[in-house]
Parts: sequence; C-alpha cells; structure tokens
Amino acid sequence: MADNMFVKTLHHEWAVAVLSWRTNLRAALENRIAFGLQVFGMMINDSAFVAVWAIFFTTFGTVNGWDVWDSVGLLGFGTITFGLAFAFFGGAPWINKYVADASFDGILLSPNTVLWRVLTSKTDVAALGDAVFGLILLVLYAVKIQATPEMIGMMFLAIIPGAAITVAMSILSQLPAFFLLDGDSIAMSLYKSFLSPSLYPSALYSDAARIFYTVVIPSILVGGIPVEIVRSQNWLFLLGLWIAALVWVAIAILAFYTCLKKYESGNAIGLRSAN
Amino acid sequence: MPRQNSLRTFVTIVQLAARSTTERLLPLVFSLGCTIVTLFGLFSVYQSSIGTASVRGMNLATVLWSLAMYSVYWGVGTRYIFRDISDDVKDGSIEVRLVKPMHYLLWRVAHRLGKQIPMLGQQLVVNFSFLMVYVGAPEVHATPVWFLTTVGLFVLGIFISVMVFICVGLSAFWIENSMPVMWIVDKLVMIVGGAFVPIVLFPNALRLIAEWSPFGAMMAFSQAFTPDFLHHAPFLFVSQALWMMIMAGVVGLMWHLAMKRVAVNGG
Repeated sequence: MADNMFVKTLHHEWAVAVLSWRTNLRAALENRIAFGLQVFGMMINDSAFVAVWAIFFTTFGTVNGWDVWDSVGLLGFGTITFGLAFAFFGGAPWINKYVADASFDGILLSPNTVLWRVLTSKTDVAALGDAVFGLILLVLYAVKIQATPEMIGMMFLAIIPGAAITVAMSILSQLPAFFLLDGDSIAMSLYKSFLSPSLYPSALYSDAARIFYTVVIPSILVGGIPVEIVRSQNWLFLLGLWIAALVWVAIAILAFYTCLKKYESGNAIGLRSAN
Repeated sequence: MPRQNSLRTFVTIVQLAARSTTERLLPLVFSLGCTIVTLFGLFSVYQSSIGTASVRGMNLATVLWSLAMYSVYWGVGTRYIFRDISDDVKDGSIEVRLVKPMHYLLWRVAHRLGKQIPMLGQQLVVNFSFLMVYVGAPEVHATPVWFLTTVGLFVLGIFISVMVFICVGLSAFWIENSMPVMWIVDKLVMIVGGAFVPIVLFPNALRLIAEWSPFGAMMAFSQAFTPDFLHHAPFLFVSQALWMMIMAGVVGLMWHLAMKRVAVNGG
C-alpha cells in the first residue's frame, strides 16, 4: 500500500515536471528568432573557452599529461552538465527571486514537492545551447582519443553526477537569500566561485587546489574528474564521483528545507509570476 | 529644460551611486571571496605550467600580474552598461529617463561607474594583496613614465569599453534579446584581452590581431608587466585612438537611429 502511494507520488511529480518542461519550451519557441539567437549565441560563447585553452596549450605544450584535447573534453563535460542542469532544472537560480518577491507563496501552496516544483519551474533556453555544444565537444573528444565503447559508456555515466552537482551548487548558492538582502548578487558570487574553477584544466591544479576544489567547492567534479575517469578507465573513480554527487545533492536538499523554514510569506498583492 | 552635461554633474552622479553601493557591504564581501577562489584556481594552473622557468621573457610573477589586470577591468564593470541600457529599452523606462536634465547615455555611464567604484577598489586591494603574498612584486621598472603610460592606457581602454557596451545595449532597440550579442563581445574581450592567457604569450599573428582589435585595445594596460612594454606602448595608444574615433562614430549613429524608434506613450 505504502509502496503503491510512493510510486503514485513519483509518477505525479514526474508528470507535472514533464508538463512544466513542455510548457516552458513552447513558451520559448514562441519567438523562434530569439530562441535561435540564444542557443546559437551560447554556443559561440562557449567556443571562446575552447579558443582560450587552445592558445594556452599552444604556448605551453603538454602540461602534466594534458593537452588541448583534454581541455576540449573538460569543456565538453562542463558545458553539457551545465546545459542539462539548467535546461531541466532552470528554476534553481531563481530561488532568490522567489524569496525576494514572495512568489514562494504560490509554490508552497502547490500539491507538489516544493524543491522539485521550484527546480522545474523554469527552463533556461540558452542552456540548451550549452548542452548541444557540450555534446559536440564530447563527440570530438571521443573521436580524438579513439574512445572504446567502455569509455563512451563512462562518458555518459559521468555526465549525470556532474549535472546533479551543478544543480546542487546552484541551490546552495541561492540559500543566503532566505536570510539576507542582496540575495541576487551574493548568489551570483557564490555560484561563480564554483563555476569558474570548473573551466580550468584540473590536472594542472596543485594538490592543495585539487583538494579544495573537490571537498570545499566541488568544481572539478563536473569537468576535470570526468576527463580523468575516461582517460584512466577507472570504474572505482566513477563510483566515487556518483557517491560525491549523491552527498552534494543530499546536502543541498537538507540545506534547502532547513532554510525554507526561515521563509516568511510576503503580503504583496499581484499576479503569480512563478509557474 | 537646459541640459546639464557638465563634468560636475557627472561626478555628482558617480558619487551618489558609489555611496549607494557602499551602504550594502555584504555583496562586496561575497564578491571578494569569489575573486580569491577564482584567482587561486587560475594561479595554480600557471604555477604548474611555468614554475620557476620563464616564457617569452615572462616569469610566473609577471604572468600572474598580467592576468590579474582582467579582474581589475572586470571591477570597473563597464560591461554592465549593456544590461542597464537594454533593461531600460525592454521595460520602456528609457522614455522616462530621456527627459532627465542630463544626456541619457552620460547619466547611465556615470551611474554605473559610480556603482562600480567600491568594487574596483576592492578588486585592486584584493588582487594586489593576493599577488604580493602568492608571488611577490612583479619585475618592472616602476618609473613615473611607466606609471603614467599604464594609467593612460587604462583610462582610454575604459573609454573604448564604455562605448562598445553602449552599442551592445542599444542593440536592444532592434533585437528583442541582446544577450547573445553581449556574450560574443564579452568573450572576445576575454580571449584577446588576456583573461586566461596574457597577450604577450599569444602567437605573433594573434597578438597583432588582438592589439589592433577594439577588444584588445580595451585591455592594452594588461601589457604593463611585459618586458617590452614602454617600447610597445605608442602602438597601443595609436590602436586605442583609432578605436575611440570609430566607436564614437558608431555610438553616435546608433543613438541617432535608436531615437527614431523611441515611442513615448505617456500614461
């Protein structure tokens, strides 16, 4: 009986999420030129990072066993995880706005799981450009390193925890908004602290930096570590990545619901803007 | 109403905006932490790559000081002028702001620069302190000529940057979402401005393109720590002068065309 309820709830949550994604995508496609510009613009934006690291490795050659193709793999993982995270869970960066303008009231009244509802409330159209670009880079990387089916399987399995960590860090960066004013700029700073180091070649980090960017801020888990997993074909390493992702997701969920208790309903009168 | 486009009015707006930013210290503190975390990562990458060696006459210290200049540029925040203008265009508030006694673009620039002054101050202090601890002082002959040249390139670069981002912001009059244009411009500044790799380490052809592009001209001051800086500075000034004239023309033309599209509805 209890199992049946759980399955029913899961099915319901999933159905609402699918409906939300479909609605968000349709809304974005209303203006196809703007949609195309955002997706294509983001792909050009991302290609800048490829250019930067190409210049870097052209200047310095192979460093710590990494060359320009490893940075292509790094950016492939980084952009596809970011893209999938915010294409499907684009509501995460909006938490501070929901708190500030009291649109959480509407979400709290919804018969769905609050965090799931928040996460699926928005779709970042530009993130689709990230996802497509990331996929292109990963295909190029796979061709270049002559990836075996095992390595390709590892690539796919490394994307999911990377995306989960990205969403978790986005949620965590938003939480000061429950306690402080200026949640928007604080969230931006916190998230940037996670994102920027994820774009640097992880093999070039010192030991101290590697520990810092794994344990304190899990930046290298979304791009650098997946490349190292594929290169070494180490399944144990991949298992470790999944465990780390589960830990960060659990921390984010716990922290979110703890902070949610601090939320005070607003008395602003207006139309609900959150879906 | 007579226009008040004097330097005094401009400075007053800058001061007022700066005061409003310093009243909210918490975002500044978080931004400071973010800067340190980001720099630590990038510096760690270069420490592995260069170590105690030198590349094209640049050792680790001079490379890191050059890279930190991008953070200083970021602190000036001229890139946000794009968002200020495009938001005004999108939500229609530009029609209200056009009737202010100061030219809209001057007011927008003054307001943004003022808001960013505390951030710039913080970036200078944090970057330079972090660098002094991490690698020590750069090996440059800090003569008055070197100092004036660097400041001159910095100021002219900021002028170009302001005009480029005004153009990006004004593009909102023609395209619904000018963010993609911003991404492209912003990343061009990042690549040729030496955010990740100092310009002096670029392959020769790319360095030439970078220096003679508006994006490289904005960031010319980041070359202050390169060995041939003072010999090279006249070329950088020429590039900047050229792009200042071109961008002034483009801004004037875009503003003229944009004003033809403004529809004031009242209400």
